[in-house]
Amino acid sequence: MRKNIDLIIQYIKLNLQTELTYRSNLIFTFISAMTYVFVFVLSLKFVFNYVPQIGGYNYDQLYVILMLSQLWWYANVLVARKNFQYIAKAINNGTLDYHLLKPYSFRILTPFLKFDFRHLMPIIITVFLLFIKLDFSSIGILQWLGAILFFMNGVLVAYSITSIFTSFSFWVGRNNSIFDISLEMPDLVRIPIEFFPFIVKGFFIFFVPVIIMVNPTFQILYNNMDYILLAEALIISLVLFFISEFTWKYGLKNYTSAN
Amino acid sequence: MKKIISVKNLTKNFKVYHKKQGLIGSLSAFFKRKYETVKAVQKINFEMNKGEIVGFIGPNGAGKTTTLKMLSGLLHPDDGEVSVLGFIPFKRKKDFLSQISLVMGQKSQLWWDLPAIESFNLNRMVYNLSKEDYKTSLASLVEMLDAKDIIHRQVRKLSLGQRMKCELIASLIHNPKILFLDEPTIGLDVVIQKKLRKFIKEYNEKYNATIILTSHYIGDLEELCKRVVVINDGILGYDGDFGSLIKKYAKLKTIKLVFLKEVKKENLQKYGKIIDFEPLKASLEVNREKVGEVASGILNEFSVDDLNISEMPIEEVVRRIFENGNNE
Repeated sequence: MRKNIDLIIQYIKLNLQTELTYRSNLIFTFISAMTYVFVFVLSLKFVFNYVPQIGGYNYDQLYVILMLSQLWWYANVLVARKNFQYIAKAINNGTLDYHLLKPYSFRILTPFLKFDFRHLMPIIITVFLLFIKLDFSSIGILQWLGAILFFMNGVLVAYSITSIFTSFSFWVGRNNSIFDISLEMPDLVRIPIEFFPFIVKGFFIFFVPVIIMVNPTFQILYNNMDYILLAEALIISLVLFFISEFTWKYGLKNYTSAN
Repeated sequence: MKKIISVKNLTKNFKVYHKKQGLIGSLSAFFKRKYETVKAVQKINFEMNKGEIVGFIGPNGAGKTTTLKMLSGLLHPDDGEVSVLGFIPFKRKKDFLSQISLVMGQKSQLWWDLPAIESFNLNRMVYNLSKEDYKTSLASLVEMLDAKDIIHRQVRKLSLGQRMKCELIASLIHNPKILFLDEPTIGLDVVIQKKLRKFIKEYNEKYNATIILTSHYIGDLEELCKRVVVINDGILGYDGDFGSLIKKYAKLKTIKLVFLKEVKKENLQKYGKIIDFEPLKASLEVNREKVGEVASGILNEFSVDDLNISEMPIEEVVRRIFENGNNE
């Protein structure tokens, strides 16, 4: 355990050092990420100048769900997207060899292989933007813990799905498009569960589980829990995690280690 | 002698898809693919003792690297048994992985944008080395490879030879018992090749490490390996003494000459078999034991502008072995 923690810290340090080598790249990623958030908040503000509510949600509530979805996206990029993009490429060109030959738990290190610091600052600012709209007096400690747990659960779901699709690279050689599909995810993740028509709700919970990414966290923060949804979120997350472990282990047997 | 590598009937096949040339070929392959099975390694057997250096030779696609990858645990064999240090490699147990290392001439484990020393330090943690052990090992490797000036330089700014030195340091920082070297001298100039060979030899002597080396250069094998294993099309064709192999299949060396003045073919014939001749250029095949004597004779008799002595290409040696059907 101690060794894993040391290695994680070392990987984070090395990634930070790499990012600091290219200063302008660091700055421009930060600017583009923040521009996206501010433009979205402004457009939401403009819309609410003309309507008091959308589907029973007021400006503050939609603002919070928007910030949660942005946070989820940045966390997803930080721990899953960048790392699995790197792994998919490494499977294709055979550079995964050096990871497989090292006496460490590769799966534990996966979220930190390409820890992208450029998204750390937008995360901090988004947390700040989220907190200024939350009513702290009405959120108890258990709610905070629950909200954090279900937020991490949403990130784990994204992580597992990305891992499963990356494992397909062991068979098909290259599987980059999955990372483009995930670019469309935030548009659906930020939609409150009530906005989904009943007949597609099941599809977006069980097959493309965008509803369970941030909706449970939002419900806990506003003390408006749908316990069935929370249970579904935990079960789906666990099932996907085990499937991702299985596809990874099984995929490794098919690794061809390109020269 | 303690046997630490044992391979029995090791087999690996790859399924590859066959595409016709051009866009039409790509379009038709998109809908219907023709697959063929490439027999990369076919039922090979060999054993290795502790401290041995064994050279794996064969033409491109012979199965050398695939064998190495199965020995190091990267690839699952389709059939056969393999045991390295008492472990089954593809199970990739941490105890096994911490005792081996694989260096690939065409791949890098170093962090591209950072100085190599950062990658060494990462490996210190990966292999659980104490700071003292790490410092001692690093100092020794840096000295042996004369790499003091390059380890603090960004990897992307290093030359191929300098990078290979750093790759070796990164791979050997934990003093592995078994070292797999896959074409470590590929693309390097002769001076660096020579230095790396010297280093590998010293490393073997100092740590009694077992080394398997694949190479296309006879020079690598001549200087490092007493024993060689020859593979072609996945089949093991020779496993034995390198000296005997050379005596039997690579008796000749080629001398390429460029003259300052035109020479007559008949004056050159006494030195060896002429395989190519123009009045100002010639190539001769000469018995390897007499090559020095012949070169000296030619230099005395003719006005020579350039003289180059080369080994028989490894592909030619392998072809002769398999033509002969020798299995020692």
